[in-house]
Amino acid sequence: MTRLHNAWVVAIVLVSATLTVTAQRFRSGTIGVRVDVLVTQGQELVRGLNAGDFELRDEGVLQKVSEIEVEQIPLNLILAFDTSGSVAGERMHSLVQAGESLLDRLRPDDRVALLSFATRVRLLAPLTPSRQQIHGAFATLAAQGATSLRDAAFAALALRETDPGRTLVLIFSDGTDTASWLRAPAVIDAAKRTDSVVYAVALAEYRPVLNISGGRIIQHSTTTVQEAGKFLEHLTEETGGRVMFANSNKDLRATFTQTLAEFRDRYVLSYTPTGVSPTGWHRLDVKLKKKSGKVTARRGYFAE
Amino acid sequence: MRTAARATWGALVTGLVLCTVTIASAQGARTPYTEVIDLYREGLENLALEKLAGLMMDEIVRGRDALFAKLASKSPAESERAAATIRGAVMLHTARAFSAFERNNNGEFRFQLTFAQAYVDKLASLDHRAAFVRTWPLLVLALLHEGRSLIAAEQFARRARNSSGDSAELLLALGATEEMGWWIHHEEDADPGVRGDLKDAERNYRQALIVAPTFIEARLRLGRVLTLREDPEGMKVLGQIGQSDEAAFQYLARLFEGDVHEKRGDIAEAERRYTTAVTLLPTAQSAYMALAHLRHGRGARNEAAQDIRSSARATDVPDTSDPWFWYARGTAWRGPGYLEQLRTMIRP
Repeated sequence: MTRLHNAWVVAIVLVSATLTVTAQRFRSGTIGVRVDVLVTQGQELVRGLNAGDFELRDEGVLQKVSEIEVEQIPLNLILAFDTSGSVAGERMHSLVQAGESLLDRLRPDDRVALLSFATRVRLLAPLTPSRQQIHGAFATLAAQGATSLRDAAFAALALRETDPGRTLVLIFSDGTDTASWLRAPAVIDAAKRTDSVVYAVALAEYRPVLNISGGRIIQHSTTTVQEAGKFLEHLTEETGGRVMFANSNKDLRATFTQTLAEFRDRYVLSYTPTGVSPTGWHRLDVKLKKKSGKVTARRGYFAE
Repeated sequence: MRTAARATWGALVTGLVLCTVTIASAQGARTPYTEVIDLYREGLENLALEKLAGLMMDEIVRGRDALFAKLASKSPAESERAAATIRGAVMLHTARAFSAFERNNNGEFRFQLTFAQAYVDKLASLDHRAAFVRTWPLLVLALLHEGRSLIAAEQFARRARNSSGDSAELLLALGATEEMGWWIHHEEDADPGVRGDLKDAERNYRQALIVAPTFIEARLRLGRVLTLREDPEGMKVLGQIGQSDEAAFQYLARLFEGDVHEKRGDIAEAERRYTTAVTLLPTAQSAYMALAHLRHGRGARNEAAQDIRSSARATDVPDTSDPWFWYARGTAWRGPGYLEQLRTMIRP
């Protein structure tokens, strides 16, 4: 078993920096509860709503909500990029370009962190306002190895800080998990305990797959998100985010920027829970009172 | 997924110190096919694979038939020479098979592996170099585990058992195939093509321990599958792995024990086991992840974030330094060892 310690692959030298992270607690009580909400109609975002347009129930109990101006809240963008072997080549180049394009669209108060995941999860840059540091971290990305998607998703959630910023976890992956220790339910459980919103970007490249069934050859198509399984769907739904699809490597950049734009166009509702238990899991229901549109928000929160 | 298999097979193809020994041509009449095999045995593996690809199938079949005829010779020397060449042929076709595996050419992979298996069956029927006959299937299973190709592993194992008989290591590989199938099917949200049966895994591990009572990996795996089946004996078995064992085995035993305590809701004990694992192998990531998740769940977000940073910011840590990574790949980690043993058996 000694070989378990031996390097079969070349180690990657990481860019590291000091990071001070404090715990984030998603509490009810005096500081209130904040809920990120997305409203869409078909493929279009619905803009121009205010708190009075929403009906929010906490454990079925109607709450009095107010809206926070999104522009006033700095953004914590935690990028978690799949750098497994399948990302090598043009895909990696496109991924870095897509990441760079996000940096250009951030505001001065916004901060970014970069995690990569392959066989191992690596924190290439902690949450930092320094774009230069992130540019440097992008330059170190190299594709090789297996895919520890679930571990990386948890790591991204756990790095959320207690600052008042909104946290967007943006995960890019092109395949199924092959290396994580954490199981899917464990990561979903962790997601319920943070207020981070998780978006996932998956490639929807269709490619023919031949299956032999009952002596017949059946040809059908698959997408990379199918390979990633239901995990990303569950994770994004639980946090009020969603899975975005890029049709090709070249489409990654547009998909990334669309994700950021969509996150900025969400509504942030806040309320002080009344008539509900101060602890435990709280189921949330957010609806529009009169106007039409699909409301996407986290399914609930843990009050601790 | 296939890249991992390439790593091991790449070691076979490129890892040899190429010797320039001129092979003795006292092996009787040489055919283009046996010349290619000889190149492989000399260590000129890439060249041999290239030349094999250039041979017509009938040349290969004629060469094979000639080898079988010589193997049946009444002259022990001629028979042994033929056996040595056949061992080289096994490795040559196995290399070709896994080269096809890398390219997702399933038909070629199966054809080449079947070709190699036919040779091994012939050697086994004559009991020639039993060590080779018993080691080769272990290598194939290790490579299939590394590529997480469990349908092929399951089918191959069944046949290997018939031709090579049981050994503790083959029983371990059989159990690991079942365990991997179960894990991927149940925990990785993927379809490995086989569901895996923990009872079968348990039976194989127990048999391996009967054959080799000090086989620590079989003990570890037995403990793990018992805990996955929520059998109380699992913790006792894992508890038998202690300080006298290699750190990687201790690490995994403590990690698995922590997992059991966490499921039971005994958070303090789970945290102790995970912490012990982290202390045993600070560069491994799985126990850090387990610990961070546990702490995150009980509200200790600072500690959880610190665990993540401690692990994810570590520089110069090899990707594959985590015993869990290898454990989850069945017997893959044993592949290079089998390869070296087999190489020594085919050298001219």
